Amino acid sequence: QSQMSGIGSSDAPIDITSDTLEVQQDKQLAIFTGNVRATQGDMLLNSSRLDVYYVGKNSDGTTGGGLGSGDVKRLEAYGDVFLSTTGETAQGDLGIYDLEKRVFILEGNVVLNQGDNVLRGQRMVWNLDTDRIVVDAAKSTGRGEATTEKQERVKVRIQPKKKTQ
Amino acid sequence: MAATDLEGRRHWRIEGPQRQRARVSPAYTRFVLVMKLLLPTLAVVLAVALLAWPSLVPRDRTIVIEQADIEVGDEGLTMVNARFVGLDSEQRPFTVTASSASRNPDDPQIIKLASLQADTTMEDGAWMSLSADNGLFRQKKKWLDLTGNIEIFSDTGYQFHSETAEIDLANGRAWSKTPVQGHGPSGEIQSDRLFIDRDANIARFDGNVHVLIYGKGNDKGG
Repeated sequence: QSQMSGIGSSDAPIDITSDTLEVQQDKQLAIFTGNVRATQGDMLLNSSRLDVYYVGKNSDGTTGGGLGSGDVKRLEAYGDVFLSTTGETAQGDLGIYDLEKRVFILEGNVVLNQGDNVLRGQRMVWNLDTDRIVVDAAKSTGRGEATTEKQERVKVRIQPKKKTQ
Repeated sequence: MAATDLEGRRHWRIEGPQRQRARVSPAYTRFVLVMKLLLPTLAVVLAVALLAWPSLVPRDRTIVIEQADIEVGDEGLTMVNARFVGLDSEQRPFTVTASSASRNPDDPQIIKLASLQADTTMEDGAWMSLSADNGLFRQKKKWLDLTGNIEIFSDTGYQFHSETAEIDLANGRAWSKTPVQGHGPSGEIQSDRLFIDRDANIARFDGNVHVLIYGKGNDKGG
């Protein structure tokens, strides 16, 4: 059974719960805090906080409109970031999704699981156009920028498939 | 070359000694598509808070009684089917109607309103209305307490409901200390409490925040 069909359809409703939500219009920022949980189909995102940076547009096209009248620019998930779909999970201290640069970054104690395979590092950069993921041991900056300072090495455990008799 | 198993799934492959890289199963690709949908559409529901509520918290207003029938009772004068009109600080016209409006005999600057409805037009021309079973307007403080079936409705398809609200007209702030439910053409939002500060341009939902974004294709028209 291929994992490809396991993931929920992207047309499914999206459900987000949290303890609080503050929308700061002047900063074009919406902050979900406390037990943030976003689900769609069998995709799940958990974190302690989720910041949504947006560019709101007024009806005449000028910027400044409410969130929703424009685009989301950047998402920052803080604290016990846990991402899962059927058969795969990704965890880290900080998750950044930059829609303009089209990259998704996980920082700090990054762990990728796929079935029994595990990949550990300090920083994961996922290019959404090429679908290429680079995991390295660069020390976390807390802002998603690269540093040359290394922490430990990247560790990978690949579980060989059991030979069928 | 990527190693694939019999079922055609690509597996992680480590390449190059200098820098460890890993190519991960395409299932993450689908996750990307899901994220792409989640994030932009999340925005639509949050707009409900910004577009709908803050604009209904008028700044300092001058209110004129346009028309009312007068009844005299034990508690003094009562206006029946009263209609108030005024301009808000952005010179936008608004209208407030009430089935009855009477002064509190013990404190005449407090006006008791029944079945009130306020209508105004937003900056972008959208029409917005607020209705409530009861209102208490404190003229000195410019403070409006609303209770019972508070409904905010806009012709752009947004609707909010709560049971109580306190509106500080002079400072453009509003609180609802009872559960709030709101929905728009593409999503719903609810929480235990809500606070809005129009000058700071902030809307804050507190307690059991739940945002639901309808999936593509099942957006409910306003």
